[in-house]
Amino acid sequence: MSQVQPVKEDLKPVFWSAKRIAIMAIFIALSYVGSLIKIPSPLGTIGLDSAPGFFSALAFGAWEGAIIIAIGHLFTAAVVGFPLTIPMHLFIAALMALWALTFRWVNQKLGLIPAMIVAIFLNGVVSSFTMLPAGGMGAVLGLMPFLVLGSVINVVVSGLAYKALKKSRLF
Amino acid sequence: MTNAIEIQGLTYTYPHAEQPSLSQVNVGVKAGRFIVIMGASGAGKTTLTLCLNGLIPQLLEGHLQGKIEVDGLDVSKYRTQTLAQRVGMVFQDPESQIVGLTVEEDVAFGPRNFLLPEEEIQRYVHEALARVRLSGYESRKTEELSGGEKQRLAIAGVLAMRPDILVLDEPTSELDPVGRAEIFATLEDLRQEKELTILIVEHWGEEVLTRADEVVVLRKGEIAWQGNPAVLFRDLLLLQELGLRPIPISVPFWELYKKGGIQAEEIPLSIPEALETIRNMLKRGDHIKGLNLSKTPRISNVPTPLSACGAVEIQDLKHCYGNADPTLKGISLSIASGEFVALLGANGAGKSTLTKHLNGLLMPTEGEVWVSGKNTKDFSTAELARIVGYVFQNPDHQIFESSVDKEMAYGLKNAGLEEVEIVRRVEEALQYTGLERFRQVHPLTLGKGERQILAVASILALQPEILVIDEPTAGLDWTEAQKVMDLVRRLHDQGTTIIMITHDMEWVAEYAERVVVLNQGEILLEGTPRAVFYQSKRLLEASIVPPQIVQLSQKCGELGLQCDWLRGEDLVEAWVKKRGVENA
Amino acid sequence: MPKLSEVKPNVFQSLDVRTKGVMLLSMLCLALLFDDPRFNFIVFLIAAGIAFLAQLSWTKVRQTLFPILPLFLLIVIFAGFSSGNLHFQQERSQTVLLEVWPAFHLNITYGGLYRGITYLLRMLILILSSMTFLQTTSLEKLTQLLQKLKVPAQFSFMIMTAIRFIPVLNRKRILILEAQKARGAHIPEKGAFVPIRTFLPLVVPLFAGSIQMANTLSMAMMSRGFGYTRYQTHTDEFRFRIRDGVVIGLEIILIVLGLYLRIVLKLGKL
Ligand SMILES: Nc1ncnc2c1ncn2[C@@H]1O[C@H](COP(=O)(O)OP(=O)(O)OP(=O)(O)O)[C@@H](O)[C@H]1O
Ligand SMILES: Nc1ncnc2c1ncn2[C@@H]1O[C@H](COP(=O)(O)OP(=O)(O)OP(=O)(O)O)[C@@H](O)[C@H]1O
Ligand SMILES: [Mg+2]
Ligand SMILES: [Mg+2]
Repeated sequence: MSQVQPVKEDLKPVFWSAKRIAIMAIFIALSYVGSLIKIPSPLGTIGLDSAPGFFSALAFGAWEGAIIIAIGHLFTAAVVGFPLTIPMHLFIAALMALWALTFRWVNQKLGLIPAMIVAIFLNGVVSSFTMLPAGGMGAVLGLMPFLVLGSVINVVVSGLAYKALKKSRLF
Repeated sequence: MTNAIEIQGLTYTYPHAEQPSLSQVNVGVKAGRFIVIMGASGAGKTTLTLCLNGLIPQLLEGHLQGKIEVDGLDVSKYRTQTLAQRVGMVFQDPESQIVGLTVEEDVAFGPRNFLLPEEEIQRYVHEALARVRLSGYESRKTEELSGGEKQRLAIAGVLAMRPDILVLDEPTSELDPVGRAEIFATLEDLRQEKELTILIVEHWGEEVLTRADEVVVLRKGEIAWQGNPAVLFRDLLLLQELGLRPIPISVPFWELYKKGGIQAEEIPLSIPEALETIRNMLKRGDHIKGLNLSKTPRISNVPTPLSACGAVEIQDLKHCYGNADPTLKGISLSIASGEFVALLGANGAGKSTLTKHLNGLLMPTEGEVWVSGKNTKDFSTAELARIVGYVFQNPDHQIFESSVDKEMAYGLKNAGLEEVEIVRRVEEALQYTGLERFRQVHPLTLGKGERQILAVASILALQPEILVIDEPTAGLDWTEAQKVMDLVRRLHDQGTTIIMITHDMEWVAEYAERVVVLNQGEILLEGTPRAVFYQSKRLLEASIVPPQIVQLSQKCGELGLQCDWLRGEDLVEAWVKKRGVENA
Repeated sequence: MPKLSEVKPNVFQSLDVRTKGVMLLSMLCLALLFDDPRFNFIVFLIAAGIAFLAQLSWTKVRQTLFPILPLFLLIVIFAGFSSGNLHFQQERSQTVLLEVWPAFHLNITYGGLYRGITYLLRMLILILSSMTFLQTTSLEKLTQLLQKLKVPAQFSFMIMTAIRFIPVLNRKRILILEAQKARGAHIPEKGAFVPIRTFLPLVVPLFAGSIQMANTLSMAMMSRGFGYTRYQTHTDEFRFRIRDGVVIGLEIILIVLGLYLRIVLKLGKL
């Protein structure tokens, strides 16, 4: 019945395997759903939008984490209409991907706690400077508290969740 | 003609596993046959299906020995993607198999991967949708389909690739009775076409019994039994040994058989067969006693006692979600302390909406709800949680700790108990539920049945006065289901008020003291199980089918008998052997 | 379901996504090119004109701008203090407008004020142009753009799948929240300092469930031939029409003009 003749293709692994795509698609969706989990803080509520990305970097792999966190960020930003403008969000997304890579790398070299500290610093403090060209130092300092607090919450949640699931044999 | 599926000496071990999950499995399936795979949880059913299109070992690695051929192709030599045109796979969870935003887009996903020309894709898509009776759904959003429709869509998705073999792994275990019926109607159509070889994993016998050409029963990774389903289901000892649920109607007749009342071949597997058996018994001169009026009265409207110590008091409860029409349209109900109430109703009748009012997850739009004398308006859900334990359908929605004992302690910590008391109660609950040996295990590595018991255990450690339990046996195998229900019964015996939502009428007949039937947000029927189950017309309104024994009992009118059996044992009791011969 | 926005039928919507993408980029370039607020004001007028033509909803703009007003204030104040010859090349810019704390040379300069206004205008330009882009482009068009940009088909598939799973996972989130509340969990929605641990009962089952879901999804995808080849049969094609050519031409002229003014004529500095 089949129209296409079966051909034996090489079984060499490709990057875009079904498994990777499935994990990435679902965790990108989860980044959006995470942003609906509102964590109260002194600066208003903060969403868990980057926790799935940081978690993925630890649980699934560096590239998975980087792609998930970047696209997850764009998704969340898109839904609220890119409040910091599209180019800015693109740039932030790229930065976050870099931070996710670093997060995994430091975790492997030095352990989870140093990795969390580094990620919080990068994602909270360093990322704020993206506002420099468009908004000057005022915008940087205006944004920094929010980014730092958001990073603390997201990075810590991802680290704790990773610890809780490490022994579950799920990944 | 070669076999559609040929498995020889299949032994497979998951990566990092010590024991093989399949060992020395041999199966041959002729083209066009309908095969059912059964077996207890963890027997290796899913593992076997995954071997058929190479997902094992291509995706899930591990160690595989033996030979598998589908359509004469050696599975080890082809990629899963290539085999997709020969073997269509449908999984348990309808939700996670759908990739498209619209129905058409989803069904086209498979053919598109094979780079078929657009016109051909369109043709296959429409054909596949027609085969699962979803024609006209093309542009519907997948998100808005019901569970049964989603699962049919998943079947269409693989049919569009025109496979010769269709493999379904528990396709109905996450569906409600309506969804189940839809799937089996679809499978019946496909079976009639006689073009597909169908292999289905299924826990319950009723639906597959008449359709299956053959049953393969797995136990601990080995084939424990193989053959004609009718033979299997007439042998209740064998079923017990294999851990399979008997057809409910066969149980009392098995008792009669043991007592020498009927022959083994006379054990019925359906209502008409049961009627036939009874007719034969009467012909032989046996006597079946009529109404058993000494028990509960048959008429409903038993006034429910408005006792002061009522566990639950609901007065004229109305609930609206948002601005929509009310979901609950004025419910009044009181449940006495220590009662066992079954809450029945079709999908969307409002059962969950009602029970969520008991622990304050929802607040009445109008009306009042008291539990244990407390108005739910005045207390938070956290406070009410100490009075009302609520076990949700999916245990995985609760599990988050990294060991079983910590998981149980969570609720107790929330309740603010002292450390000593927490340790004591966790210990007690572990003993009570038989989970001691898993104390330090990661909960997510437990089997489904054990996770369900853990979910119940972590609630009962809170020692609630009232336990609400939603579909406690869904997706469990027979042994696990019995364990969970036994646990519920023991709690009830100790005085806990039980409110159970279920679609399984056999459990209701066996355990419930009172039945409440909801229909479109209103109470349709209320009373003892006997009183309710004999109102077949009104039950139909709520799309509820009474237990098989009740159906038989009503059919017995045709034989001039007037019966009111509720459980199998009623029938056994009603039987009087032919006069002159001593009752065994 | 995330909607980029309700797509209104108008001239802009019929433009090719690529045209609109270039437009967005050229506005970004122009905005960052000049420091002098007068030039930025002209760019702002262009952006506003485009937004007007695209029938951008004024209510939406207001809703977007309102929450970031405090940020705008902060931007102007900070920029106002920037002074000295380090920051400004023109003398006029270094003229002090207001002495705040002379001992520390903390003065508001004309240049600082201008710069503040420039920052404001830049933000407004970017906000307006991205909103215009979003409001005239549907989600499908955007993923098709990804395909056109030679992004692997798998990538756009991943995005569509992510969109498909948002409502599924959101339902899961609500179910888990209810299940944990029923066990007496305090998952607060208000408050200043909440221990992060209290959110684990929600997050961990959600992550675990998502992983299980992804496992089934990957099996289902492979069983339906995903990865048989690297490609999929495509559906929609892009149409690049004359009006797209005209608009892109205009965009290029604008950029070249901007570059000429800034680099050759050295205008627009502070
Ligand atoms: N990914 C895995 N890694 C290791 N062991 C596994 C894995 N999946 C299943 N197993 C083990 O293999 C055995 C067979 O599992 P399988 O899922 O095939 O059972 P099943 O008959 O389908 O059960 P159920 O009715 O619960 O679906 C079980 O003991 C299980 O613990
Ligand atoms: N959060 C919600 N928002 C809006 N409508 C809802 C919500 N939850 C349930 N409903 C609607 O209320 C009705 C009753 O739902 P409910 O979950 O109580 O039914 P049920 O009897 O528990 O069904 P099931 O057997 O499927 O569990 C349904 O029509 C459902 O669509
Ligand atoms: Mg299984
Ligand atoms: Mg329900």
